[in-house]
Amino acid sequence: MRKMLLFSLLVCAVGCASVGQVGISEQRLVSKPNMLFSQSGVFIYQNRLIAQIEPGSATSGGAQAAGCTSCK
Amino acid sequence: MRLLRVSFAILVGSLLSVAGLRASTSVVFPSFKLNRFESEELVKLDDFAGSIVILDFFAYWCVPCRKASSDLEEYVQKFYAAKGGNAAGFPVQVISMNIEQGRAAKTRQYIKQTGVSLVLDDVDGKVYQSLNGRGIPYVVVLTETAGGSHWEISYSHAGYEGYEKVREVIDSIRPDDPQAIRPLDKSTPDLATPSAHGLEIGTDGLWSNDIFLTDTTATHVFTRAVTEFRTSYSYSTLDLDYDPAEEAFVFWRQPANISESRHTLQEAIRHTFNDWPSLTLNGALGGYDGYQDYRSLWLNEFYRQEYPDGYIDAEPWGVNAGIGLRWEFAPTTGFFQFDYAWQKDEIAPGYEKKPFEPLARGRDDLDTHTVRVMLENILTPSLRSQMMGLVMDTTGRELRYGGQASLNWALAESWVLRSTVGYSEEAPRFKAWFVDETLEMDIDEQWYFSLTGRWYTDTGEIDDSLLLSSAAPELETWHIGLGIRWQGANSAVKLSGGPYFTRYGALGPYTESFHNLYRGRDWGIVQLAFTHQF
Repeated sequence: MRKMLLFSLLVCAVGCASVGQVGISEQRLVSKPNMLFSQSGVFIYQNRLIAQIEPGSATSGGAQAAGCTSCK
Repeated sequence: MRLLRVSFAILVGSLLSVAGLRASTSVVFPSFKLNRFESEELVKLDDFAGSIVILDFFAYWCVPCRKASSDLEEYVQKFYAAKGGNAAGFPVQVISMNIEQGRAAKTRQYIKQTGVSLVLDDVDGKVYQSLNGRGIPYVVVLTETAGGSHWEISYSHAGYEGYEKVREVIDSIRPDDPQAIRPLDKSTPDLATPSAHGLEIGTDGLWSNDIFLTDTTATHVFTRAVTEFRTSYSYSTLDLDYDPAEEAFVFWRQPANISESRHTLQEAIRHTFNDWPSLTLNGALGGYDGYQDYRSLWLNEFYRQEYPDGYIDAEPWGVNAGIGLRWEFAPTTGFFQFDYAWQKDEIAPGYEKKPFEPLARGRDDLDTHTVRVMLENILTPSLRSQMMGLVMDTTGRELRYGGQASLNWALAESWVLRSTVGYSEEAPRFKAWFVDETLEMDIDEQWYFSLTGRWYTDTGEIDDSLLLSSAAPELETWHIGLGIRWQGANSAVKLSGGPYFTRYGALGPYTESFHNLYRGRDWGIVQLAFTHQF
């Protein structure tokens, strides 16, 4: 839990550090379509099927996606 | 309760960190005189004295500006022109304000696609800055109802709140003297609520010499005013040449060809509040029917052959529901998102046979609760970041913590590097790391080339069995791929692929039976995606 809280604080600190510092006239490059965090498969290069093999990379998908729970 | 405590702590910490960053809007404004786009013709704001003027600041590269510009032209400019003015009879004029000096051809294309009629150049940003602009789209409503040159700011907002909000502001503008209201002689035009559709189809393939997996997903996105509906259907196939490990005196294990399919239906809704336009409510609902991965299919066949007397046919399925909130804490540049999701899985369970005890069938119904926080921001003029942390609580397991940091970096005008690093852990000993890098190069205005690399490793899955364990040993994977993308005005297509290698560590003493499941494999990966907006 401590690790997670520290991670959250780090995330917020880094993420908020520059709020308001980048003027609109300087945002042309960061507004290119391939600079956005899109849900579209056209801009995502991670194959959806890899999650079947890598149990530690799942960020959604329930019990089975996050590893083998029937491993008895 | 553990999950709730952790989630609450993360939420409070995150909210405190970003609190107080909301922009405030000034109401001071001078008049201006600017050139029309690509013209020597000067246009003065005072030319519209006695009217209501809507300034729409945009740049061709601003994705959300497109909707704002086309909406304001269609549902404000044309609406009030057809109506003869606002409720008090004041004429309404929309002026699109271009703030980008470079690549005039791109701006011309933007003007053509959005249909905007009056475009002025504010390329040095003087008007934008005098209005305290903090992000685009930036919409400002100016009022001059006395017929002079005394302009007042009736409304200003960075980020598009929808044409309804702008109409609400326009219709609320009345002259100081009620006697001065001019009755309209035209009826309200019947314009439909704006809506847009998007269609996306993607196919992923992953294969080795004994396993073939595919996933095809079709998604329809329907946007009506401030609400977006995203409906997805996926069809997945799993084909295995099941080959059990050979062991002495174990004659009942037989190779088999197994094929299964899975159907998944998912609905997601995003709704932006009219009264709190910086807040978006997310909701999701879905379900699937079929095996989620090839390992559970492999293991199910193993148990079917191993315990023919006690085995019960498995019919995996699952449902999920989720809710979340997205907060635009810095107009158009900073987002904070909090999501909660619940998933119920009916899985193909494992079996365990202890000496002198009946065959035990593992639990087959599992609930997973996931809490996720995400922060997205622009760090520098060439760096965009997204940080994500999650906690997952699954029936019968310890909490799983995960984190992921993504940075999209514009290395140069035509080069973008997309980096993601991730970590997750679960007691008593599971840990996983991964790094994902994609370098994308603009070949020209429409074609993009990419090089992708990925590395993943983990310590092996949780093993709490006494005799036979199907838990995976430690794993290391690599992937390298090439891709090409074509990007048109309303459509895009991408094709990518390459080799993928998986290598497992040594199997434990109780895992030997799964030698062929957890052996190293060389895979091929291919991904094809198409999207179209209409």
